Amino acid sequence: MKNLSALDRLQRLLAIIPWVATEGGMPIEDIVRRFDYPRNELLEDLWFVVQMTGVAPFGPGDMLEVLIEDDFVRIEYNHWFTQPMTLRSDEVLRLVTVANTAADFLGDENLGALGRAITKLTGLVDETLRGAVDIQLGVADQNLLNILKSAIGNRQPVQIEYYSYSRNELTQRTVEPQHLSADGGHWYLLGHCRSAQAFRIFRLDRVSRYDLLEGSFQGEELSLSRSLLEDFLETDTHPEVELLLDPSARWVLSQYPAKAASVEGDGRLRIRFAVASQAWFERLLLRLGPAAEICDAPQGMDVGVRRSAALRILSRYEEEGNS
Amino acid sequence: MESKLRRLINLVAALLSAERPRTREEIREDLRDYYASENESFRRTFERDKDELRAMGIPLLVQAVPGTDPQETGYRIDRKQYAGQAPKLSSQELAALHLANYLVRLGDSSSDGLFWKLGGYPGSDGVESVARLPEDPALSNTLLALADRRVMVFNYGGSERLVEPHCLAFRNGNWHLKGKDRTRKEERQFRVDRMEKVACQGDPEAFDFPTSFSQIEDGPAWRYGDEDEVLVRVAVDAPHVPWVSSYLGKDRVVLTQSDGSAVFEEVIRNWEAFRSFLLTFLDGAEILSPSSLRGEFVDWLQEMA
Repeated sequence: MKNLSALDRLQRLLAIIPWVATEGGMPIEDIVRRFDYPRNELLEDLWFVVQMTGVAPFGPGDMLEVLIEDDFVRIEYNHWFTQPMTLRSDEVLRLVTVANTAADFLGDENLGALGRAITKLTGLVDETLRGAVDIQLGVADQNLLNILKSAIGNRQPVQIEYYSYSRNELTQRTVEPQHLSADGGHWYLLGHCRSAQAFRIFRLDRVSRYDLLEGSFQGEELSLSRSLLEDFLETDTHPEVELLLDPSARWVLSQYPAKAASVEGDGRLRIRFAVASQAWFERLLLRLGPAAEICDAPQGMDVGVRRSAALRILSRYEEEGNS
Repeated sequence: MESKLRRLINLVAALLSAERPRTREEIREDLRDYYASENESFRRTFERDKDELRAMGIPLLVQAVPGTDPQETGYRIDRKQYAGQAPKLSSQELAALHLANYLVRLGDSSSDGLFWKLGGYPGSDGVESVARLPEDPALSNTLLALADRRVMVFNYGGSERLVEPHCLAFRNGNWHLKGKDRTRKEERQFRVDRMEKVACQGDPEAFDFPTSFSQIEDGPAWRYGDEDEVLVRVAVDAPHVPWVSSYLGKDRVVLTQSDGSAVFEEVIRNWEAFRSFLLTFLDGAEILSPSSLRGEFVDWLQEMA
């Protein structure tokens, strides 16, 4: 059970009092559930706070009266908290934005209750503001997204051709799709990869071909309690490297997840990364060029990595150059 | 905690029911069971209470008290502002909205406070989110400024900006704001996560939205540099083609070969950013033209070879 602060409780009570009073009473369990209010705390607050609320001179009729009978709560003599607090304009804008984005994902023209809620909320938004907040969750082939949504719903396996960024190679996979997720501007599929015999995560813009397969799968279902990517991009097991970067290369901090970073006396940046794969490290070193010096790296991750990667690319220019 | 809760809820009731602004002394007298009689202690507690109520969004007004001489100031809560807009949603609509709020999580902070105002939530447990959008600390103030048409003040790239916000977009994993930069007297675009010390300034409805404004520029960085435009032709191997085509746009792919490889064209204005992009492909891509950039790319690699 969560511990509610005085302000958490005030915020809830200012909504509960007008709601219960207007409805002519409510079962206590409904209040507990709808307002995420632990039952004992709610009972205590109804008796010792709401019942003690009123205005001067605190005579008869100046105080709220709480009646609880058979777990049914009524609040009487409520002259002040007749309506809940207003939704601020930015709160309405936030809700409309989130609801529209979810509706786009659900993609159903007949959205039912959500569609009606959006219509009611949009009515509160200044006309000139409609469309002022626009969300694109990620880049992906819409047809692929639709096929995966349907495959997840029907528990149908899919065959994909997938470019593995970390291994820099094209692979064929059969996947039992379980969950779609957008994060950091990309769409991801999480599913059980039959080829790898394990759960894997796939970035959808790296899927080049896809087919729905016949039949359905029964496999184990993932229970997700944390962010998908937090679970799957766990980097604790990866080897670490430490680089010294010129001040001109500070952009790295906003584009790569550093495990530690500090500024040296000469202004250079000392930064520590978990290396997901050799290809990942090659790209990083080649981008940084002479601005990076490798200070600490496990065997096989030293300056030779940068040199061999540069030579590999250069060989293409020597052999195939046709400009 | 109970005494604080009792004091705050009774303070809200007193200020909501007030027909005219109540002076501090009147408030202390009305709520004498909850406030200390000692002056300094009362002042500190009352100041903190006001701040906390305002932080919750309660429209606490400070106004001159009519008929006082010398003029005194008092406090009240504007009932119209307190309980203005709230749509009447059915249980199904509220549940659907709550579900949407779980599917698309805007930041880690909960939007539960909004749902209390709408009547709580009638249950959508067990829903896994589909998308999580980062809620940068600057985002709340940006939404507030946009919704109320208030001028924003913030630091960006080392200088202070006064901006009329016009639109906000989430692209490629980042929030972008477009608006009129009052100092530079032109429309500018800002990355929200790079805006510092963001605050709203002045009154709501401080400006009109333009009847038309350009869209958020969400293309890759090399399209928006300050260098002279150069058209670059690049060959990419088959495994990279689907990604290139969806990231840059299908129209950038000008030739597809029978082995699945392709040639794409880009107009660039920032060579460093484009070089960085090309290195994504390692040896899976090759600059075909112009020869000047092909040469620069080779020089860059030779320095490391």
